[in-house]
Amino acid sequence: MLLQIKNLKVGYRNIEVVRGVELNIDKGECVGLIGESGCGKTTVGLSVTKLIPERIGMTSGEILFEDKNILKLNPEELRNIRGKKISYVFQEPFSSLNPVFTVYEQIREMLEKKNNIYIQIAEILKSVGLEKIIGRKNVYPHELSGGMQQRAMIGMAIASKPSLVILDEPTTALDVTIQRQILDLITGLKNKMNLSILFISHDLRIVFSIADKIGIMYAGKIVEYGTKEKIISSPSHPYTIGLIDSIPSFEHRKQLFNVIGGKAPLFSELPKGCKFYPRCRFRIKECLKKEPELKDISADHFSRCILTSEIAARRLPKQNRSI
Amino acid sequence: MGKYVFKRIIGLAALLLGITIITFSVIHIAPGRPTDLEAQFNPKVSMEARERIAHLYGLDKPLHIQYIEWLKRFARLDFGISFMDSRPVMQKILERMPITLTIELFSIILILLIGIPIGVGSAVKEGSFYDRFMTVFVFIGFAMPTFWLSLILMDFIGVRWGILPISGIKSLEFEKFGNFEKIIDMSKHLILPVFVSAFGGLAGISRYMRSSMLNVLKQDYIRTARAKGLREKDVLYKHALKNALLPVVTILGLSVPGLIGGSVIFESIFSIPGMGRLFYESVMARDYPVIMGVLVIGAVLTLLGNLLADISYAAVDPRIKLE
Amino acid sequence: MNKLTIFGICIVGFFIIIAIFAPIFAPYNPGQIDIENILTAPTSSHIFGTDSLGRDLFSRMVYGTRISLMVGFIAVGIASLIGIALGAIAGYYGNWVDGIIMRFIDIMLCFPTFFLILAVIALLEPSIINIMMIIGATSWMGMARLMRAEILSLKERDFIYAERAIGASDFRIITRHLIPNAMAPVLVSITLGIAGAILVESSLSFLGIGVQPPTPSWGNILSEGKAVMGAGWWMMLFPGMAIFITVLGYNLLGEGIRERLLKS
Repeated sequence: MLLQIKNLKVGYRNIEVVRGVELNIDKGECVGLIGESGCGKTTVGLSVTKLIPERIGMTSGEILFEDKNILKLNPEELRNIRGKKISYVFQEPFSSLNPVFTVYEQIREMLEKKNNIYIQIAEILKSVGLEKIIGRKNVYPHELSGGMQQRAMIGMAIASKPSLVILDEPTTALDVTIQRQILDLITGLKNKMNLSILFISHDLRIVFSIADKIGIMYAGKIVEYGTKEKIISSPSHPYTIGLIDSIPSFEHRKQLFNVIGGKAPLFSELPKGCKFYPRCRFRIKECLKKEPELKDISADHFSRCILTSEIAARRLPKQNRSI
Repeated sequence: MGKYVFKRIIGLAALLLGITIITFSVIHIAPGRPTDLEAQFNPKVSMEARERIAHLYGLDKPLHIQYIEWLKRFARLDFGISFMDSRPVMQKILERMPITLTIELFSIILILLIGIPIGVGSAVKEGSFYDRFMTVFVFIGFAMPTFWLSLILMDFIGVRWGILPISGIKSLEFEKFGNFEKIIDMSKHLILPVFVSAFGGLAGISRYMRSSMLNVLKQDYIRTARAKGLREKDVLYKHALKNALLPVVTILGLSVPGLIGGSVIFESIFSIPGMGRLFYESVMARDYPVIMGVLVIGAVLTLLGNLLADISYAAVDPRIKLE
Repeated sequence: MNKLTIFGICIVGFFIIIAIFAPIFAPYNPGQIDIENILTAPTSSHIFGTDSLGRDLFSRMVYGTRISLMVGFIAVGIASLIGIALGAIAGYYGNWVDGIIMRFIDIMLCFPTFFLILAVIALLEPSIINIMMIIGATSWMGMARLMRAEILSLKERDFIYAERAIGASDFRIITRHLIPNAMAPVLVSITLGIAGAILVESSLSFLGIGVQPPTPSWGNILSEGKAVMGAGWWMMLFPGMAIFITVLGYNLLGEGIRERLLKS
């Protein structure tokens, strides 16, 4: 196992926003992490290399990367992992690139071997589809389009041939047509370089198109986890079902979206018992007793719901799902 | 870049026109003609002098004609002749300008050399003892009246301890000194004035630098720099500092009028024969041609300061070039 | 509330009380000359000592507080009237009105303010009223810019459209709805402006072109202190401290208000 996240908890001031997350990523595997904004998924991503400053967030649990606990590393050891073995691509390419340094300079910083720098950079630019700026050493980020900026970010992320790339909503800020190109680029690089990927997104369709395994996060915990096929064919947590049902599908576009009612709870006032209870279609009194554990449903498929088996049976076949 | 500078210069030319209108208006605020006032306050002014001013301002002609004629003379830098010693105003100003500009230049350098590190240090160690200590220092700097500070320094360093001279810019026996001694002598005379002139600005720049740096440290690209595994030193003093310094360039331009205005106070306290003291003497003697001349030149120097700041900004911020 | 802010409020309150009740606090007539007691160091009968005419320094300082605060308040009052009015007009009407007012502000900002003030004083005469008016007339630009920026964002709000829909006049919208809602950031500027005006007044008085003796002001007492440098430290210490502490008080109060605004 390349990365193992065990019982990860992160608190900002006194409020815990990641409340015990378990997640494994194997070599060459792409794991998608899905959830509404504010569910703690970005915090999980940043915690992987301890990017949350200690004076802001309290982190506990274990993050094993190549069998070393990242949370126990000193700054020097962390630096040798960040950017070199684990790298990031963030949501907003424009604000994530430093406006006053050239794209060349920002990629150059990632290179460990300082010989033939320009050849190395040219190869990176080529591999992310930025042939246009090869040799243009004075190009600044603002001179590129949003899609090209994200390509440059990806170029930076793969420059030192990392084993894990964490992509946090990498296409959310981009036009729909560009999104597709960036996703294709990521898939291509993943296969070519045998990258492991943690793909964080709120968009189920994007994650379905790229991930091998999927974790669904709600209120700071993973509520369902399984292979992509299992999640699509037999979603077992009411929240997952709600998410999948609210995807507008082309054939049924006259139907109303089957959206999840209500709002995600605030971390400062989480309900007792199951955190999804207030919004759940299937809720029963039992759900209020205590927060359910993550249960095995089948091989590689877990759900945090006491009604899992009943729900699977009650879920209507897709064609009859109009309200 | 060339186009940008050209546009700025056109804008400044419009401002310059505005400056001449206000200066021209100021002298017409006074009840009665300047010539009457002059005679009333200073009985030594002869009838001949009164006619000379009347002629200078063309006071018998309608206002707009007077203004245009004044503007024509202004274009030739002809501000008339001083009441006090009948010398051309421009000549008097040019004699006094170098010393004032030298002091301002040194104090700007001092402000930058001390203020920037203080501000950056406070931001990097936000909330630490050092930061709080510097905050107190900054409040003291803001509240300290420069003339009081000058008096205290004069009393202790000059009168009681006799460490530094406190009056003028050269010693009585200056002419007997060799070249090296002359430089030492002048430097000694300039230490206190430069320090006093820099003191107030120091507080301002360090406070500004602190908030600029704090703001930059919150930006996404700083998170990117950390995620890239750069040394903390490079994150702070390469990626953050360059961004944080940009707005300081503009602030420096904006602080020019304050520095020039402040010269009146410390130049009259330390008996330095610069523009500020010339202005003060002219105000006390109600030497209008000189007052008007210095007022316009002071504003023009401010304009030049702003232009210089704008050009430097364009030179250091890559985003300006395209616009 | 921040400790520093409370400290600022105490300073400001302390000097306002002194200014209001000056006759009660002052043990002597501030103009009373006593040739027998010239330049005496602080004693129990003259706690701040006496000046070069034997006048009681403490009493002069107490009356000087009145002058300094009055100049500060009225000058800033004038500045805020001009600044708020021009800023609101520029922000509300936009277009060429805005253009003209903003260019005017740009031009005013080019002049070294202290030069401009001195030039006008040279033309008029250094009476207290003139000084207040001149300081006010040369220090409104920052407030105008703040006001304009606030109005620009406020005027697009729904409640302003609603007012317009029911036919409220521009004057009513500006004075009843826009300005009161835009005052918060201007308030910081007003507080800091008082500190600035007190500094300018004392600088002018120190240079002998502000408040004219025998009327006492902190600046002109300090100026007398300069003349007797080395022979009367109390003449330099007390007025300087008074200016410094007062300015510090208003700055701390202004910072406190700014922080509060940022939080809400």
